[in-house]
Amino acid sequence: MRPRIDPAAYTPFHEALYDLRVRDAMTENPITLSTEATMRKAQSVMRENRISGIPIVENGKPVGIVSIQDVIEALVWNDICAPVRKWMSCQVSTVLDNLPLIQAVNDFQKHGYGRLPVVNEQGDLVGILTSGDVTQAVMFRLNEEAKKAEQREARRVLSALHEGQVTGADIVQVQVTAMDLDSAGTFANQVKKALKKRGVDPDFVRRAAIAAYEAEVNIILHSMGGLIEAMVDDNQITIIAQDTGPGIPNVPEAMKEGYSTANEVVRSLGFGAGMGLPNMHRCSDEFSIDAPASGTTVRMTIRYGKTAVADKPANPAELQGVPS
Amino acid sequence: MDLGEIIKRLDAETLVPPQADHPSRIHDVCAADLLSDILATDKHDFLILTGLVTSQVVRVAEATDALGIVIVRDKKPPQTTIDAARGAGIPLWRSPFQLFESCVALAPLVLEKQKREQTNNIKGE
Repeated sequence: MRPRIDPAAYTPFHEALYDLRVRDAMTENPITLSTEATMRKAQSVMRENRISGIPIVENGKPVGIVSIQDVIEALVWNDICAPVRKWMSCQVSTVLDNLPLIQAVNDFQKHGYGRLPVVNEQGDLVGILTSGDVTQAVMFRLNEEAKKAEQREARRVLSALHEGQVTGADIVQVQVTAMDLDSAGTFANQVKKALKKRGVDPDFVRRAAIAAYEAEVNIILHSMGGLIEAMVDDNQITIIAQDTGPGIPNVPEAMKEGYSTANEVVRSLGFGAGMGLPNMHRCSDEFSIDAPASGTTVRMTIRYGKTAVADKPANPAELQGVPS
Repeated sequence: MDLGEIIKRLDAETLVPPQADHPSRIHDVCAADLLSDILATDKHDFLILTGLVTSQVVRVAEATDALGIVIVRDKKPPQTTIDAARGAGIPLWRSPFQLFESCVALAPLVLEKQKREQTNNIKGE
């Protein structure tokens, strides 16, 4: 049933879409009526719930479907008090809950259905599927895959940064959840331990821990979550903090000390002094920020090996979102 | 500055005692009610004075290698903060003073320390 696509051209996106089942997209516990309910009842249920069709069930199994078109017909024939069994469509096409969603999409296209009752293997009604449900499920899955792809890319960049230079580097990686302040500091703590283990000078450990903590808190407070990673070797630490939006509209402005978009709640917790990004920059030998609406990526390197502090812009506000 | 003297001047109650090997001398004090201000300080071997009581104060103390935290305004930190401080080995006190009053109480010690440092610098020259 899969569309004709060259198998070699399959991407994780295709795979994720084909893995979607009808039950992943359907609306569970749909509104139903019995065959004895009146068409007037069907009309009011449709109006109250803003729906355009109702499955009719007997003993949990779908036996018909009443659409808004059927209600109009009953009104035209002045028969709105009749039971729905008189006006419902009895030729009910259903779809199994464990079928691939793509198969249901084909049914929608082929027969022009607006909705499909979903049944389990015993034939009991377990949900209803509309084209809106399909769109929503596909969009949600695509979004999840896009996030995974971003994380894969972040890891690839991290590895590429050190390719050929490092053996035996430590990788510290923490998934950061938006607004989960209780976990703030987890990454910074792990970074600190990794650096101390290598006997790095305490001043550099402190700089890295502060940069790591600020980056971590920024993801928690100002994004929809993300991934923060560090690669630690005997010469330097590189931290990449990547979130999933909403980006920073004006990076030079955000780099100014005291500039903050934090709300009152965030401030009451002691954050929002507008020092986060300037602090990260101050602690880093190399600092870059890329902040489109799809998500912000901050890269920081602190060198404690033979190479000391590198050149960095005199004025952090001059940063234009390109690697320094 | 002597840590014991600082605690005495702040009339502070001990919530998490210093570990046996904890330094008894404090070089500086950072008084702030914003965590980023603490994170931005260049001070070393310092004590944090703050009105904040969340466990994030402890995380910030860890990141900045602070030698302890004094919570001012007689605030009682939640158990999670006390547990975090104990887990991180960071001593925690609580003082009835306001933040400004705490600074005033410690000012003579800080001035004395600065005077001593100036004298040493002159001798060094």
